[in-house]
Amino acid sequence: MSDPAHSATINAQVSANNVKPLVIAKVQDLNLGSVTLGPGVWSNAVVSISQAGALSCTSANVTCAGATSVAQYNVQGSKQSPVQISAPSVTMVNQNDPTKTLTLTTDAPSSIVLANSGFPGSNFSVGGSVTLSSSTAAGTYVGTFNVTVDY
Amino acid sequence: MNRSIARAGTTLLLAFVGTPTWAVSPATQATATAKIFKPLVISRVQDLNFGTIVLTGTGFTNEVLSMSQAGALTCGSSPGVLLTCTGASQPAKYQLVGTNNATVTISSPGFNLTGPSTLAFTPNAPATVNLGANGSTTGVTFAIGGSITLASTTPDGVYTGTFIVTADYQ
Repeated sequence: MSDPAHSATINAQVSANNVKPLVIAKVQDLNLGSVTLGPGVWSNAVVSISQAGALSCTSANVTCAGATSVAQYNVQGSKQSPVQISAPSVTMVNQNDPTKTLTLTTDAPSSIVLANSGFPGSNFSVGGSVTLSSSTAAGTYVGTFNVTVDY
Repeated sequence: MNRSIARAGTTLLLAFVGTPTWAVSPATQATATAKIFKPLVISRVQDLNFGTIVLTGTGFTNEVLSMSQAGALTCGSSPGVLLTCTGASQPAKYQLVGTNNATVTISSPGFNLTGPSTLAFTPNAPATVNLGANGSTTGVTFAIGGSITLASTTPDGVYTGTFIVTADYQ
């Protein structure tokens, strides 16, 4: 039965930003190659690799060699919404002496717009830099990124 | 009926607005790797010496006088017949100091010994050397032998030459 005395109309606006869930996967690791420290006492020698994969090793106190690569990730989602990228610094640990670390300051895009929705998505690269001195302990340093993406 | 519309509208509002987003991580993160090496220093410890070789035989060619990295001398194909080797002999030795446990590539190309004539010297060096646990302090010593080829017509005299040894991290 109808009840005119208590009837009312509620207008509710409905807005929906319907996006595909984001999926991110690692494509490749970052490798700064081999860096040989020069003699003497010195500091602030920066070795870096750009997002494009270009190695910078200009300090006269270091010699760089070997194959290098940037980290790469693949993101799939909706192309309508820019994807925000978070890539905090990475602590790289000396595999011979875990008390010795290097900080990799990352170089990542702040956001990307996907070329398509869903597969195959888009790749983005993460480079980074380390600062070395004559007192840097020798050894192989390894760290793990903590890259996340969000709309 | 209006009440029904109101209920329907409220339900739709909750369904669409209540969709949160959150940061997404990959199942496997990328790693970052860098290999740092200390300066590599190579220094001569001792020279190679074949000792004294007497060309005992006659009419021979292509007799190889060789020394192993361990210093063992091989005095041709018929020691004491075609070649007779006497005197103290020793391989060349070098010391390497650098990064602990690093592997180093050794390069020692051939060169000529000069004297009354020219003798081609072929070094026998290790391809690689591991610096070991004391690589940054005492380092390691490695030896280089080598060989020359002699004939009965080789002019006698003293022959000398200089190694061109280089080392680099792998």
